[in-house]
Amino acid sequence: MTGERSSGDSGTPLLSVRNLAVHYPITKGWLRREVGRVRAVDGLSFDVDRGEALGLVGESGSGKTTVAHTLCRLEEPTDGEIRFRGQPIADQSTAERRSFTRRVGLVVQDPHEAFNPRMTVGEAVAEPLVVHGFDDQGRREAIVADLFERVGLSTTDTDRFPHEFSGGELQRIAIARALITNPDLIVADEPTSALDARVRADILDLLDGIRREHDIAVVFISHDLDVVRRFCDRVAVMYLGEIVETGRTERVLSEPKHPYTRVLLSAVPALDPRERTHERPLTDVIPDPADPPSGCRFHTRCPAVIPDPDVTILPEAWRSLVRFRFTVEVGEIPPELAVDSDEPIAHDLVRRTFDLPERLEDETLQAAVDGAVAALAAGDEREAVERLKAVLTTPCERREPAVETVDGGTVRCLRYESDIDASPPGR
Amino acid sequence: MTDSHAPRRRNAREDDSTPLLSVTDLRTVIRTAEGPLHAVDGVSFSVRPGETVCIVGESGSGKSITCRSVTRLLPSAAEIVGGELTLGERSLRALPPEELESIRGDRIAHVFQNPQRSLDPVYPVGEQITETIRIHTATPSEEARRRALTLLRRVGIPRAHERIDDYPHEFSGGMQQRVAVAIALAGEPEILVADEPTTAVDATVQARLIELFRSLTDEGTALLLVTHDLRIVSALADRVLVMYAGTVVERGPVERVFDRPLHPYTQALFRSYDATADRESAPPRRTIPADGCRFRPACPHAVERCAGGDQPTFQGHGTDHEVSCVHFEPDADATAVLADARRSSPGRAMEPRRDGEGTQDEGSEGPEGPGAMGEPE
Repeated sequence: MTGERSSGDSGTPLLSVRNLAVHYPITKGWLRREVGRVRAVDGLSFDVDRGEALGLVGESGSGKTTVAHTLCRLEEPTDGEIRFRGQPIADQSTAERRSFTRRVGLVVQDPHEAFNPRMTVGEAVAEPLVVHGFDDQGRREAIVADLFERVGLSTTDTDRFPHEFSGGELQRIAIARALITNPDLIVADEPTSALDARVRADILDLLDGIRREHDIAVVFISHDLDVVRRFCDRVAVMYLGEIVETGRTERVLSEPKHPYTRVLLSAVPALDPRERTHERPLTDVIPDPADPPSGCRFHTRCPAVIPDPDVTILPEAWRSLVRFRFTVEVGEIPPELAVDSDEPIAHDLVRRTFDLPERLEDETLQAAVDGAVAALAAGDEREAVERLKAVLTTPCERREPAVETVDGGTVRCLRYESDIDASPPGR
Repeated sequence: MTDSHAPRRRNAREDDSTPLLSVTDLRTVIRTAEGPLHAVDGVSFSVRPGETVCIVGESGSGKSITCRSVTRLLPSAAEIVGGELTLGERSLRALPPEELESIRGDRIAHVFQNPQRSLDPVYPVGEQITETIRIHTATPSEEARRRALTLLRRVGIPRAHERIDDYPHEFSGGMQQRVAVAIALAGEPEILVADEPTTAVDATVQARLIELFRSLTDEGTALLLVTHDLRIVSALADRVLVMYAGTVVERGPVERVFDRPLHPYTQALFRSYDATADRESAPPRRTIPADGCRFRPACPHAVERCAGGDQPTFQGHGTDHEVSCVHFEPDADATAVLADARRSSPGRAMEPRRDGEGTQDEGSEGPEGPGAMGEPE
């Protein structure tokens, strides 16, 4: 099942998300006055076809779990629309909502937290049937027993309690529970990240077999690219509440377009111990989702940040200068450059630490860098930032990238916009 | 910016250097309702200054209990019942609790998967670091605070001077783990024992912690790292121990083990990283035996003599690379297991590599006597 599935069998995708936003207010004082908003999810659009597995990957603060909760109606969106089989879920009547929750199953990360310790696992798996008014106990037990066999457990296991099972077995039971209402969609939030490698592989094989057999779509939320590579048809990469890249899994993981995807992939250590290099982001700090950077949200960390046309500088020098700028700006000063006493730091040390070019062609640039080095050596980080900010300008800081279609997927980076003069990232 | 850090080249001088930490035939038992559980059952290894030794295994393999046995940071139901633990010249096993307390943090420091274990929620982080510094050395408080600030910067806390008086809950999970590492480093330990230190953190934060660990070992700190993640092992280890059900089943230099995983369990573990590989499912834990080779119920190569008695004796296979499997015993035929070694190597999917190529040791291929690692067995 790897062919193009741009449209579903009936033409409408099973799940369609448009401009989804989920904001949390930040309040202050006993009046709980709103002083800001965490933009956990900010303008997300994607489709999932019947039977398709879409991976949502990203780091903390990317908003991927918020998306999972919104899809299961555990949280209401601030803005935007979610359509299920063409119908907006916000317009659902009580009866429709009930049938919707039956069609969407959720599997969460920690199976130990997903079960009531005082209920047998058989009862736990049957519970959604009871909730949906399925009263025939004999039939319920037969369905549960059948499901236990399908997820690789024994029918005699139904009378046991959650603590009697290992993490992997409990995750099988969680899958059985998600399947009991015959869902069209399963939302799996890091379902294997608490499991050992071999058990993880077993669970992925199980989930994969089930979805292919019953044509169930899966929204698979994970930070683990190995798992996504193995399981998902398509992948959407999230950063600070936005999708920065989508595409077929093999393509995105072998030829990533967005610089963030490249950094994320490169951060995963190779399975070859001789291969111990990786591409570093400019800075390590993941910015606060309550106050995301302007323009492209990744620009403070982006190794491929674009210089303005009037910045005349060689690519290598540009890279070390912007790294200098953003490192000081986010406050990641290396210990050797921190002045905690009155002793000034040698300018040379600053230059060496940031690998700054000796001489620059452009005199304004040279003066600004010299000024920043002097300011930092004297312990004035703010002054250093001001000097660098004035000359090391980038469109990435001012302009929000549009969603561009590339290679059958999408990417949200100024490098792919026609009016921006920038060679593709890397070589 | 790229950063290169090859596994440590092992030469004669290094092999001769005295181990910092030696663990010999360690046995730790956990009392359970169903009787004693042999959580660590005859584990031996050593760590030299500046060296990174990784213990890799799944949950229940005994890897965490092994490293907690070193400073006896064990749950109350667990007890060390056999073996020897030495740090430098001193035996740790016989040490009274007060003296062990002074070694913890000072010479051996721990980092756990969950940073909250190392952090006290009611004190600012700076105070926790300065306290550690001042317990271990008579440092004036101003100097200690300055050192705390340097440590926070070193582990990558941005705007450290503004954050030194913040409380642990004001930091994100990844930042908390960095603070926990800073506290561990405050006593300038000779050896850092880290139990799944990057499991709960994001990929880019993990990459940063890996760099930090590398810079520590470059400066001579030894690292004993416990993980279930082969990628972490690949990124950090000089030497690897593979544990299964309380026993070490394979050990050796990281490139050798990754090039040619010899034990059928190591092979199964490696194959679970490859979506295209044929795999056997992981068996339920309650079926694991407590004698002979513990892996035999799930092993495709199991034979009658795998059962009973102690685990199979270690057999050398090339320099320093040893495996506890009956098929490698002198009178046995390891051909079938070796064939699996080739198809299980994670490097297999990359460039095809011929036998012996790419291993930098001057030692010859082929079986050598056991004890090539200089370990008693």
